[in-house]
Amino acid sequence: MNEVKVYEKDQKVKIHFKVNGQDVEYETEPRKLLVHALRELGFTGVHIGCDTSNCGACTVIMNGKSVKSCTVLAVEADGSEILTVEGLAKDGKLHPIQEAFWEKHALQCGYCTPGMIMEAYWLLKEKPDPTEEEIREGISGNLCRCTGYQNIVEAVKLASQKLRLGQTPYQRQ
Amino acid sequence: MSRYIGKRIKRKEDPKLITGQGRYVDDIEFPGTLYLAIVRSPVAHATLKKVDFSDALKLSGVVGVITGLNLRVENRPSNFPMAKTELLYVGQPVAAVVAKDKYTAYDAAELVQIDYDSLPAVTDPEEALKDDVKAVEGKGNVAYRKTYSSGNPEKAISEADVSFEEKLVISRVYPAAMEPRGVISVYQQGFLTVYSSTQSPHYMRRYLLNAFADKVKDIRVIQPDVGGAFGSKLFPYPEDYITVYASLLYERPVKWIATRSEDIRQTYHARGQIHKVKVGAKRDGTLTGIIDDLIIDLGAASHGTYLADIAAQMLPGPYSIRDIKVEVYGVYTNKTPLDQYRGAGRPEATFVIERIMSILADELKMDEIELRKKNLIKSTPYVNPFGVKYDNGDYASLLNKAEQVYREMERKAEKLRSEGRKVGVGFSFYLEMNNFGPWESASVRVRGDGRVLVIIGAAPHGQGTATGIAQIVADELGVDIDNVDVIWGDTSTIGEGYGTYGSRSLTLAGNAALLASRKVKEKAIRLAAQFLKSDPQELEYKDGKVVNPKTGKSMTLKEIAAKSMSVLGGVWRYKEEPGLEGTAYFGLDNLTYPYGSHVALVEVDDTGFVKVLDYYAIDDIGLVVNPMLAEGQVMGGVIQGFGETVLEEVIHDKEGNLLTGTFGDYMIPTAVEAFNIKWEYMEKGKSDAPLPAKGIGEGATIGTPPSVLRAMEKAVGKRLTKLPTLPWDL
Repeated sequence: MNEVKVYEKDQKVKIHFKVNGQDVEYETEPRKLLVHALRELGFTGVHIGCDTSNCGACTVIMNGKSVKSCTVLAVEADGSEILTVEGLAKDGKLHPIQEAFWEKHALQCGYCTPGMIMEAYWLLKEKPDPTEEEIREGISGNLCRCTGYQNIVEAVKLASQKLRLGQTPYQRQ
Repeated sequence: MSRYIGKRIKRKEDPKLITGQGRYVDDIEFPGTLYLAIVRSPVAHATLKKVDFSDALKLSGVVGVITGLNLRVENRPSNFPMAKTELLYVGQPVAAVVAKDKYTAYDAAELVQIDYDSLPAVTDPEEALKDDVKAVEGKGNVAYRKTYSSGNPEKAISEADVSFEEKLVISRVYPAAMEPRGVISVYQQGFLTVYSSTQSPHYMRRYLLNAFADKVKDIRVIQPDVGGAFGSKLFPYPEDYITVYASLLYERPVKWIATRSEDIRQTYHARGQIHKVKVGAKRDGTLTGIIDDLIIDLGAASHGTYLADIAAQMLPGPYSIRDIKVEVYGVYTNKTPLDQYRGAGRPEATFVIERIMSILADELKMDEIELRKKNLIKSTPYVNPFGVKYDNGDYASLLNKAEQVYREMERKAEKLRSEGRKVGVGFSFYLEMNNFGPWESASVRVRGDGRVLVIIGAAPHGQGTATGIAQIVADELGVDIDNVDVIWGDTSTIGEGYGTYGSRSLTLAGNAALLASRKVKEKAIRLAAQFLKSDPQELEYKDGKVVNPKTGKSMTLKEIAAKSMSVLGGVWRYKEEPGLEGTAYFGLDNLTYPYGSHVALVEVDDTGFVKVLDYYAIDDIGLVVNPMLAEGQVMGGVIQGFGETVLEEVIHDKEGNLLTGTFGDYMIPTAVEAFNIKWEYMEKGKSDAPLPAKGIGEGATIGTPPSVLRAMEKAVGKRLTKLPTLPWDL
């Protein structure tokens, strides 16, 4: 069980968390959504595609698990470690999932892509060798309007191979 | 020699997008930006009495509230961009709150009170046609009326061996680009810079200047990265004007970004056509007559009428019928105005004519491929009964190729049926028109370091056009594609342009870039003649070099560029104008007419869930510059077309309340409903352009619905006439 915290409506709350390995201090209204906080902090790769938690464009990894950052309050992220799409590439080298998305033409407009990549990151961590059905199920909370998903599925398969072949993913957590 | 054209080249657009470094409109910030929230009509039809925003103004951080803004914009509601006297649909802007941040703006918007007297609303287009309840006070509901007629279809149908009537319904859909619309308007003393999630910055500049010419000298429109559009970000929206007006009023940068709920309410809906058809044919399958009463559900404004015109003109499709009539009725309803969505009129035409072919085959108990072959146009070019000139193609070869796939899927279906499974195979053949003009522009500039910058007037937003155009320019100039950058989306970088819509960008902007590259090559020869002290007539451009075959001397494009730039502060002692730039504008004197076929094997389970087991598409779009990109367009388009066939419908209740106002209610396909597609292409029907491409942006949303619905129909053994057909309809 999480600890229950009570805040006043207009109270400013100071929170500390790690984003992509960097310590961040942030002062916020208690009601502010994590997605808005991350975007204000400059992580604009975290996108907003709906207001009902259907689309998954705002997916990030929080304490090792994928979350839709529009369903998390910034104050709930106090003390957490967050990984966004900006934190995947290391020293100018793309993460294997990013490489696979590029190679397989798994994006068109690119708007769903950061969320999709982060969901794939979580999926492959949980299931390193997923079947096509498991991939489709795994990304079904992330909407894409351009690609028809076929090349995204192919990209996740390719990323799975790349990762299992020992191209160690860059993991901060 | 093609080093790049025809190859599956990886996209130049991708690196920033896969790393989160894309810059969409909401990612752009300016110091002192104000945020705008729109207060929208909660009802479908009412007299607007008063907008009370006194409580909103009391909220700390609120800068102001705008009400009653009316501008004259053609074909838009009289109360545009804000309702002033009459509320016409749920979601129509009524007021705008401007505040220091987004949260404050939305808090204040909730404090604005709208006082209104309800009026009866009309939402069903057939009801609207009766004109009993007026959608707009003081106006008849029939906003548009036109007849397309050829020959004598009444006589043809009365003399036919077989005839039937059917009502075909194509529901309203919502384009649902993943990025909601948004605008930032930055005021700088008489000038504006507007950043917009648009498909056409140049067109947007024109329409904003039309409205604000007395308030600004010029407007520069910049299109940042755009998260999809599918036709929905081309035409003027109320929020564009409201945001620009607010920035002029407060002399500050003002930002408005739609929430998804707002986007579903105000982004123009699409399709929304009913076709009541009467069809006659001979016993041998020859189609002899069609009469179609077409009702288009325009919503609360009349700017969508052209979609009925396209549907009517393309209704004959690839078949040689001459006795045909389409009566078009455009009606107002109390719903969001209607406009284009991927395919824009051709999906509607193709759905109707392909439904007619399949139903006719059933009526005659005839093989539906044989029926299509019997009616297929025998040679091109061909002028259809409404005067549309189909350019060229080999329709029969493509049909034969698709037929083989169809027969194979039928054998598979037969086997599955013998196992007791409810499966069916659907087939469609489509012919469409695209490359809507009139022209497009491109500028090719070789920099002093040899790097090539290409600026296009088209405004791609996900299609990968920049990669395709880089392939064209790199091949033409004989340079490495990594040295070619393609940019777009800024009215200050190229004089005029149109944008990206109607499957036009690769053909029109691509040919403009090709012609501009040729100008650069000519210029490179003239400059090299100076540097090499040769007669330009002796020189030729080959593989990225200007060569003198007599002397064997040569200079690469990079060397010519570098020599042009060599000494700062020196003099220019050559008898040729410096600079290696070329700009070209390119237009075609006809639209282009690609065609294709889709074949689907589907299974319907006991709950009515539709699963596609196999899917095949083939297109002839002339020269294919990058098969990977073209295939991507088809894959995405098929799944959108599938969504339109089994999932997607904008639903209003009788009072005009929107029942599908979120992604929780308006379902677009997820990866689970989606399926894999096998795609092939032919390159027989080339366009007249120097680079003989056509377009593939929309083909798949045109070809898919009739093939999937036909397959469902055969699986359940019941005639299907509506898009979408939902599980409980089966």
